[in-house]
Amino acid sequence: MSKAIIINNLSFSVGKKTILEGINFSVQEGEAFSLFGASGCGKSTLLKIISGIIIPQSGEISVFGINPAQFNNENRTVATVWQSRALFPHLSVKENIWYGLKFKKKSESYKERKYEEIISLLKIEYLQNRDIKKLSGGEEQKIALARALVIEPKVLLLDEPFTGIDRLYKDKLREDLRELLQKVNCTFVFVSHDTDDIYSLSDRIAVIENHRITQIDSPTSLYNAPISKFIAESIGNFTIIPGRIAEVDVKKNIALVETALGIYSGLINKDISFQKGEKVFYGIRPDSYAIGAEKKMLANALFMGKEVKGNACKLLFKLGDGINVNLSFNNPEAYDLIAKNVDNATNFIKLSWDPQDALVLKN
Amino acid sequence: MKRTGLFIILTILVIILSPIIFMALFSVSENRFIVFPVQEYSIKWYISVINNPVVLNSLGYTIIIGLIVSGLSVCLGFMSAYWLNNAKGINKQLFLALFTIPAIVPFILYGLGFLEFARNLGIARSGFAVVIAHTVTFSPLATVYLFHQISRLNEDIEFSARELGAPNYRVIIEIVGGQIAKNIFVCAIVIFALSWDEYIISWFVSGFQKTYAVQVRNMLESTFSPEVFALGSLIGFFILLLVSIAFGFSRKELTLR
Repeated sequence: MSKAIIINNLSFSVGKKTILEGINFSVQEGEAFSLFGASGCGKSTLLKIISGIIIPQSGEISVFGINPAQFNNENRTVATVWQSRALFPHLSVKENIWYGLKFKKKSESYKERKYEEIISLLKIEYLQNRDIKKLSGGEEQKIALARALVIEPKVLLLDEPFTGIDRLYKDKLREDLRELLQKVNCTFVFVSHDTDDIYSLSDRIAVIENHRITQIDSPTSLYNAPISKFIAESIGNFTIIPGRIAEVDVKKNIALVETALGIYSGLINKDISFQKGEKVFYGIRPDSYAIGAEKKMLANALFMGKEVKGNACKLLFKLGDGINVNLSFNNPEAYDLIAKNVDNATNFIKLSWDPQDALVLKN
Repeated sequence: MKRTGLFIILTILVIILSPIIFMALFSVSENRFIVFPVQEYSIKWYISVINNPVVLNSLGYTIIIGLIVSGLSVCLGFMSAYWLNNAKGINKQLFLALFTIPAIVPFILYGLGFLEFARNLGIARSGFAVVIAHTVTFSPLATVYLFHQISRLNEDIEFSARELGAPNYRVIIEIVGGQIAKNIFVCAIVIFALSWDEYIISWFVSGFQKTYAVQVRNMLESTFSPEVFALGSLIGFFILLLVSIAFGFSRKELTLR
């Protein structure tokens, strides 16, 4: 399988403000690749660089062997679905989808066939005669997808594809998009700050922090072995406790971390070195907690309350000075565990976890 | 509070419209002389004015000048507004301020200056000179108005069109122009009305063929006739119609946004 996108040491800044710095990655042909990061981290700018709209100051980029800055009507292989959708508001739904076809040097019958194919693939036949200004967010999204896919791009860029779509419809649209990815012969690059989106749609995820890529991995690897506090917190939903290294055992890949709640041991990444006394974060995986003192590491937690949604139950705790811990269970009876273990006078309860379910992360 | 507001608005409206109302009243007076209140009503001045070949000729001439000026001004205004919106590293507000100069400088000075300029070019005292003078005067207003419309557009839409393979000129005309087509139309109507009504510059640079405003002035200088009131009322109604159409379109645009 060949490489669709190759980026080497790419940097971009506006005036003195750095937007992206030393970006390196490649995307395989047919891969669904995501760029994840907080708002304003530069991920949308990176998408615009891949599409050739923004030219970086330094570094190399090629999309199927062509520098996007040199894209023209004949060699352009990229299409984008913008966060704002960017539909042409003065054109009809059909004219929007047709717009890119007008510039293709193909026969009218071919274009007509492509148009029919795409509207049938996206199941949007019923939208053809609708007023473009009266479409819902999800419908707009489908028209934007159809408009981009009808020109048969080799790379489809999706910038925050589910922005402005209500929760219920978003899940359905995500399902539809996942189905579409399997049917369309295309390389996908998503930009999102929503973990649900990137988990469900990506083969690999690149995390951008402070204008740089800090980790590129599969969703499972990112969850199991996050290398930074940001990734552990945002992707893994870890509980993060600040502390200092008390002791490191490199052979066992374990470190002891002194925190305000006590001294705890956790796993360290063997590729990262830690020094005694160094400020670090101690991260506890959310699915590793036990209510009560069943496991080796212990902390006193203040029980704050519960949220029950159908069969799911979320228990809310506070550790120390205000570190929130939210534990989700798939049965509403999980609350019974609290009743059995909580100190009724203080509302405190013991939470426990095993060292192998905790990670020591660089500050 | 509501009633007071309404009273104030109606008073202001009456003050603004009183010259037109009086003009309309005198235009239907039987009497040749201005006598108030009107004693006897007649439409004879209307019949007279629409049978006056000099007036009709100047009206036709002014319409042609207005259409050319409005078309040229909107094209120039749109192009410069688009350029200004996309320009990097310049003070856009300063440029916008410079663009409003022709509308601020007294027309008598502007007309005099333009007459000298036109003389040097050898086009003074011609319809061509009126077209150029009005275009130079009114196209900056189109620039300023259309700049504000273009700057509010979502730039991703333009990126999209380019990415879909549209050449530059089609992006500008079909996508940018298409999105503000109604504003362009409104702008064209307003500039047509401004060119139609402009007297001072036209008086300086027009030749043997007079625009309607200059013609009215000439009519007033020679023997006075209530035909002027009839003509004024007809023109006033026409301009009111144009402005209403323009206002209707801009309201529709606002509602859609």
